[in-house]
Amino acid sequence: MSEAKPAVFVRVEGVLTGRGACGAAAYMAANAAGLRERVFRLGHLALATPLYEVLGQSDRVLANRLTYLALRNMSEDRIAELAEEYWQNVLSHQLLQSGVELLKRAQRDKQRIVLLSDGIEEITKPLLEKLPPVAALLCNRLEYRNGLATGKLREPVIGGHDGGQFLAQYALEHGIDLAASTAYGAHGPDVLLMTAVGRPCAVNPDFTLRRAARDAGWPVMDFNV
Amino acid sequence: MSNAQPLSVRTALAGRHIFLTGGSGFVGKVWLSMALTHLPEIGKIYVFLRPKASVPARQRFEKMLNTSPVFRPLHQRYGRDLGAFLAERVELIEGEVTAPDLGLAPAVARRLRRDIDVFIHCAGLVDFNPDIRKSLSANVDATMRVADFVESCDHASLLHVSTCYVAGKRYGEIAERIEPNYAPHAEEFCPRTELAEAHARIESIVRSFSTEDVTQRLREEVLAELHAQGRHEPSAHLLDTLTRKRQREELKNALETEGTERAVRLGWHNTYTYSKSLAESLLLQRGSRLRYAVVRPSIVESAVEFPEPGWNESFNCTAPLAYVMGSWVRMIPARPDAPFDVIPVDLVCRSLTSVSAALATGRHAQVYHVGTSDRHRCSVGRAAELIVLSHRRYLREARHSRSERVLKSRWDAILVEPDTVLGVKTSRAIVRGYDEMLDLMPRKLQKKLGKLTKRVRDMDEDFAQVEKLVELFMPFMYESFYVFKSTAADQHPVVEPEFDWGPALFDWRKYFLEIEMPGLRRWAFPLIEGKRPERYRAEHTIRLRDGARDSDSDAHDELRRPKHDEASAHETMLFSPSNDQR
Repeated sequence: MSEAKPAVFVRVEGVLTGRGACGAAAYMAANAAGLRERVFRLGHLALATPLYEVLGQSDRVLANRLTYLALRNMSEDRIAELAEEYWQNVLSHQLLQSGVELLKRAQRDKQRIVLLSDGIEEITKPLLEKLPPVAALLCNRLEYRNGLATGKLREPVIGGHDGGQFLAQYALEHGIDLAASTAYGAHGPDVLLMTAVGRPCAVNPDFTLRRAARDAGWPVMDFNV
Repeated sequence: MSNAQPLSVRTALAGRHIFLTGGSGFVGKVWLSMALTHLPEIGKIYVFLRPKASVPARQRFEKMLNTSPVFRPLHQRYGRDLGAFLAERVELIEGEVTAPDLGLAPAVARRLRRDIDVFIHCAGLVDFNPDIRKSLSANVDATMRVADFVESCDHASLLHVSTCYVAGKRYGEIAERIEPNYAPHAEEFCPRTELAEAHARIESIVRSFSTEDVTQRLREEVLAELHAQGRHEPSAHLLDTLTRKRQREELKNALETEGTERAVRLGWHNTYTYSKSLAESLLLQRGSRLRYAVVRPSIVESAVEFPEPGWNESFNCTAPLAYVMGSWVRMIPARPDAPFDVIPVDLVCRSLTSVSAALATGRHAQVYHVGTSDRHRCSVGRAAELIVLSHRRYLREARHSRSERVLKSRWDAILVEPDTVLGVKTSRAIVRGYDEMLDLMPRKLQKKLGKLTKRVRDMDEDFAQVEKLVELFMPFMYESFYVFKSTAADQHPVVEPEFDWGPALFDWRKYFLEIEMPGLRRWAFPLIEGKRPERYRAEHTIRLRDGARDSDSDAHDELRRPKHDEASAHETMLFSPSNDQR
């Protein structure tokens, strides 16, 4: 029977990039087809963003669902094109090298790397080219019908307290030793993810996670490069 | 169809003799280059060309071989040896497609009757609303001459290149067949009668423009214009010249109008589709005397792969609309859910090859639709979105001005209803209103506002062109909803993937963003802007020589006659590599 191996679980937003889901959605809304569409979509996001800040501290699933509703009826072609632009013009410049170094260290230690992201697949996938090889990327996926986004996210929606459930299932399927594994979290909902592993570490944590880390005695890393 | 027997194109066409008209056109050139590149098995390709004005066919063909990027793959593969290669595979035949026996010398005609296996008739006039005489001559009369010739051959079949849009204003699913006596809006229609009536009407119009009354009227109009220009005593010669010129212009306009009106009255969108449909109907009437297949491409656009991704010479299809969508004109009347049936030119050429193989083996269908609306549909809405995204991508490149990168790249064209408030008509009316207002201002102020006045007038001209364009394409972008069924080719699926022309071979997003739009920018937009696209010159220039086939003494005798002898005007020519080096 093969030995269970450790893995590294990384929350993308906060550890590898500085931007959350709202930034990408706002970029796409601002570049929708036609002025009227831009106004409506940005208006939607203007209402959704404060909710995101509030909900994001406890459960981001609803926050993510509300945010991506702003992309309803946008074409898959436009989303793909704008995602590429967003990556090239914004996100690639927001890549946190310190976070990348954490992955490189994991690679040197021959640990399996698993990324979790609130972002949609179109935005998150280009990130993989800048990172060491990862075993899995768990991110949100937009639902499309007849080439148009319905505004809904396909299940499972990433962002909530699913981190812990996902970890348990993943560990079972891939023979992962969770006690020896590391989790780098950045947001309040990552608490469950981090309690499931033996070596949790809060990276650039928000208020909720910082307090939880302090209470639990977890290491905290702050970097912005 | 799982029971269909596969067809090996290479086996079917090995040693066969193919005759090609329209080899200097967009589709014909690509087919010729493709066949020479991918089908060494073909016995011989006869390329039929007519001389143009003072340029002999040979010179036209040489220029084409040496300066068209379509033949770059051949030049790259064979270099200096291309001439020798072509000498074995290609024979240039000079003639006139509207003449009896295609204007061929008798000996040449005899030999061709014996040898031709498949006759690909690709020649035609693709202008939408030309002088009806030209349309009928090029698209109907020529096709009948070709059919007559093919019927007189020992064993030839005809592959006639038509268009999907012969369907006219009958929408929905269009079957792959020729309906007898077809006219979309006429209950009783006879193509022969229609042709005769059209010719009679043409003669009547031409006669009417030759009368003294008309000549006098035009003379007076010309004189009045000259007087308005301050030329009070023009010479008789000048007056005659200008009057005749005016006469020709008005006759041309009258004949263009006649063609359009006939077409529209009978239910087609324009003279082109009317004439192509007439030709099909007349072919059908030949019954079993003629073995033929009709290939109906939809809108032929940039190549996916051959001769290179993006190659495009057709600038009266998507190019003008795509160009306008990258301008400051935002609102394009179109129906987003309608199929936008475009097909890359190299896939059309693959279909011609495959259908030729089917004809050569007697496995052909009557009609083949070569398009995408049936099995790989792209809607007008999606095509427009991809065109807009392509403009966005292009305008954001660093080489463009700040206003283009920041503003124009985000100035997306959108699809609207024709009567929308801020559509082209309204925008033009606003601009004209400004223009009239400027005209009413005192001269001193007009002088100061000179730049603004010019800008407003330029905008008015731009809008006028856009209006014309929109009117021309409205039938295809807004009024119509066609699905051209494409199942005939299922009867004989091709064995070789390089001759497969199934449209699902390409991805639409990739096609528009990385192939079609860059291709249009490279080859078509410069023409729209009045510039010349990039030029190509082969490294080794190919020259033709007057050749002879040793086995054909009649043709040999023909060629021995002096060049200026009319009887020898229609010669066959072979190739030799040039000693020229560039």
